[in-house]
Amino acid sequence: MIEIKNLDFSYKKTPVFSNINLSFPQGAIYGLLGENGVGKTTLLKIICGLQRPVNGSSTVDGMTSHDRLPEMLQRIVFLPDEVQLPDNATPQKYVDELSPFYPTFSQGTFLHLMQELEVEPDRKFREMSFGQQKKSLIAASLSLGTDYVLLDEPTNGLDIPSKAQFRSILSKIADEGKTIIISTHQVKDVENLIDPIVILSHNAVLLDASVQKITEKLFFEYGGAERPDALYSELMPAGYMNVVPNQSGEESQLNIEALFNAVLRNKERIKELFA
Amino acid sequence: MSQTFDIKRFGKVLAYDIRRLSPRNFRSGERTGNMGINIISFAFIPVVISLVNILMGEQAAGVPVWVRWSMLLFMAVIMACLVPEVHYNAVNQKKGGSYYAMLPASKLEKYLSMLLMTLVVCPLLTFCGAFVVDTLITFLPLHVNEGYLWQTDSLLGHFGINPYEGLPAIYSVRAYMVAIFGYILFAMAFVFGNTLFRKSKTALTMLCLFGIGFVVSVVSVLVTAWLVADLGIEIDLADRVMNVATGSIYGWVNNIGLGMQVLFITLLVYYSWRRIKRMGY
Repeated sequence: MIEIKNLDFSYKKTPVFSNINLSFPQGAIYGLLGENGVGKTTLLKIICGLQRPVNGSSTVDGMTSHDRLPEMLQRIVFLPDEVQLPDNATPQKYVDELSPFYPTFSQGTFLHLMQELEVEPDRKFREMSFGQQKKSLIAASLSLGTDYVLLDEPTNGLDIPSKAQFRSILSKIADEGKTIIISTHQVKDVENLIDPIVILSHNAVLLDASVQKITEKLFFEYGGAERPDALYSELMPAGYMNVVPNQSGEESQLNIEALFNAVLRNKERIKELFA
Repeated sequence: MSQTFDIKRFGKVLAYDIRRLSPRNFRSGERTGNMGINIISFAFIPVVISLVNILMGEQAAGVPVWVRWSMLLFMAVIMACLVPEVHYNAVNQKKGGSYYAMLPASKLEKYLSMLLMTLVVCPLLTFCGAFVVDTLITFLPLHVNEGYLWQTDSLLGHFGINPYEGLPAIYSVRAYMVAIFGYILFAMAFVFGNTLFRKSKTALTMLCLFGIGFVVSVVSVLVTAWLVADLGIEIDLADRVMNVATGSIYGWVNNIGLGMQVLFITLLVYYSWRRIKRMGY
């Protein structure tokens, strides 16, 4: 389990997090959402030990992240948005370099994922498009067999079929009990995949709840008129979509974009609702 | 398995670092080039020396063995200065550094591998490569070299680091120690510079060393002037060797120099390790 306790973090004099608490129990795909610059990538870096908190702690299975102990690093893989790749290397050579460090690496899984994502393992990185490079890195990262997978903007550069393949692969991996944390702006790409959802704001966590809890507390109404009590309303082709407090206990289909906007516009109200 | 140091894991890190010497691993985003290519280029410098010798029309005499030894050792030292920036440039870079930092090995294992690559592996590979190339040139009937590199009796005399001939063995040992510690100190300055500066690391480290060297020279001149003029101490350079043997002021200066080398090496090792340990990406 990943645990963040009373965490403060700042870049020089710019505060990013102030006394935040989060926990990521195993076996789920967490969605880390937030506006630009709220610290989504920073939080991933703190979790995997690339940044040191000013105060508080981040632990992975009880091990302090910033110590970057080999045992912890064997359990966690972080795929940043941009990676400098060796020009003449191939995805196969790339995993050949990494695999000695990961006892859980599976060559079979790597080849299977590469096949599913339709990338050739022996093609040079420099001959690939950005999307193909990204798919290779996703396959390489997932084949390492780590318990925790941290993905920063993983769908950037992927074409539409690849996004569907990506979702299907992640669902299978989560079923194996792995913990996946996805930080993204492109919420549509991970809709129906991420659960629980964490929404970050400047200095704080605005929402940390499962989809079930969200739909218990909020009602997503499609196709009606604009409601005055709505936390968020958006005009759509079939009428307004309203996000309102769920007072009837009725179930509704979650819309992550609408949820995100509702949370950002009603920070205090959301805190009260989910307290 | 220890989380701080495990010999098997250290071997993996070292093997990973050695594999990265391959030009195949060059990343186009990197401006520092590839260490493997540097080693190969440096290994062919004996060819350049031979060509220069031929062009100068001096091949009849051939390049003396001690000159070539000097070149080889000088190249190895230059290589040690280049390794930190070229091979480990990413250690304090946000983009490239995270990949290396996330490799499942301890910070200590990565640091020790960096030191071994800088101080031993890369300079040794360069030296061996150049040694082989020099031997091949000598073997060819070009007559540009005076003899094979191993055909020499007294190299130390030529390098001027063994003024203790005829004295007890301890003085020769000390001469070697001064040379080896000097080399380690110089190379460690570049390891530290690599963690301190973000760009043009080798050049900036070199500038700092020039600056420090200048200050030390000025202070030395002032101290010497003070010793001679104010205290009336007679400095007899010709008598240096015997004074070392008898433990006079020169012997003490020598010991202090050695002690200072060890002290500065320790400080550089400590501070570069501290910076790497606390580095964020």
